[in-house]
Amino acid sequence: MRGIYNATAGMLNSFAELNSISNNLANLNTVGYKKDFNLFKSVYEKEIRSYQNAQGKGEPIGNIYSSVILDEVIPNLEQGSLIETNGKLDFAIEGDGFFKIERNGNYFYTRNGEFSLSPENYLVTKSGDYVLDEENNPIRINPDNFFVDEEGNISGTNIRLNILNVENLNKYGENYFTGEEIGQADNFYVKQGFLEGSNVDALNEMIKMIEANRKFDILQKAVSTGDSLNAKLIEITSNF
Amino acid sequence: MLVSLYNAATGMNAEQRKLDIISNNLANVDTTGYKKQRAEFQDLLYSSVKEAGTPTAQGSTLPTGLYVGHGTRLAATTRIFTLGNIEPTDNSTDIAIMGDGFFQVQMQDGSIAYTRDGSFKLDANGRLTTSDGLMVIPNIVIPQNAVGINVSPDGIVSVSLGDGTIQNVGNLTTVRFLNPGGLKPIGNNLYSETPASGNPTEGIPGQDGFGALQQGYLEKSNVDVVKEMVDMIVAQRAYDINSKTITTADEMLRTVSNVKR
Repeated sequence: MRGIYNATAGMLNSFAELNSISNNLANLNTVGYKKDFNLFKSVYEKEIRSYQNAQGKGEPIGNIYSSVILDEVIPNLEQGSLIETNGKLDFAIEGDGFFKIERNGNYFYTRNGEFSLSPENYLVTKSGDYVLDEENNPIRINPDNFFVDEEGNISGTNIRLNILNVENLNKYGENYFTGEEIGQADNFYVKQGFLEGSNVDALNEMIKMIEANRKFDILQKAVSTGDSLNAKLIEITSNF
Repeated sequence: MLVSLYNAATGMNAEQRKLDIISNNLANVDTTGYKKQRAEFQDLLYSSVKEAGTPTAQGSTLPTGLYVGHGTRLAATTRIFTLGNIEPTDNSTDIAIMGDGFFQVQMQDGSIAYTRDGSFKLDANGRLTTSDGLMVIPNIVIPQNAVGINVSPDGIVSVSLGDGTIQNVGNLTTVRFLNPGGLKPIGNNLYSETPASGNPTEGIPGQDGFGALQQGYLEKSNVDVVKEMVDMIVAQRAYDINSKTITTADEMLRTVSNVKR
């Protein structure tokens, strides 16, 4: 019966695979979106040995796994393509780093530089959360004369956008990540008037989708085969 | 049933709405003073299978969790207030704003709306109105015996009378908003203010960052047809691809139903 459970675990994993592929494809046009990929791991690895020899010990002949599970979903931080918008409040980061965002004392990180102005003239995201400067203060700008250079310095002020390297990233939604800061990023250019497109490669995702689909079919065959073998077994033994 | 099915559906839905916005831009490619809109997407909340920070069997904690995405949504439409093409019309009551600013007009209910469409007309009493007959604020009345109208770049409206004298009949002012992207479009090329746009600041055209007026010209829409067509192709393909996800998820479900015969 073990084969049936192994194959079933594989089928469930194909579903999990399809879930992240479908999320990637749905976010093909989401600014600053980073594609996910799945990491699977085998569980209950066990050494198997040959039949006992004279010394009472079998020769190791390999390993057997009883199942496979989805272990991690990891965002791929590859650079997305830069799209020119000419918007004064649109920013793309070319290279490393994330913009730091504050919502009610919680910090988030994003690559989506599609900002707006709040009624009080603060630089905010589309969800209305503050974009922070290097001192972790909200940024108040002069909308008539708002230019940001490639290092993130805001012209006419000594304020600089907080561009951080972040590790252990987890997706939050609304184009935000949560994670742990590991200091200022230094290998980046801030591009005003540009946005970073999603880094989802449709072709690649489609191929992964076909693969998940076929793998699923094959595993279903394995379940059916295991089942018919059992049926055969029952049929033979019932004749005695 | 399958998260993927719904993911793909959110994708198709959002691309459809993006197409709605693109089609509205293209439909208004010749609308005086029209400002194009842009669709902005956000990924939806992630449901967690394993929380980051969960203790592991080895005594450490998981640095990253396992989160499953739930697709995308259209988060906002932003209006892009770049200047449209300024085209000559040779009509003395057509006025374009060469830069920042909006004309104010009086709505039927007494409230004030804002527009960049300066294709003004004169009504039977000589008052300056929009094409829909809404009064321009501040009110400008052109005397019956005027033979020519002149609008200076800073908004001074003067008329020349039949006998050769020139008479000043009023000053056109414009208003600016801190965040014009927050204005609410109410149709007929008009906008109304919202808490997001901030309060209007009135000023003299051509001064303090206000755009100067240009008589005899109109501002066309700022829709860039090539860009919109490209966006349309992108939206259509993304729609196609999401529909393929649905087919795939469906095939996998069919396979499931074949497991037990």
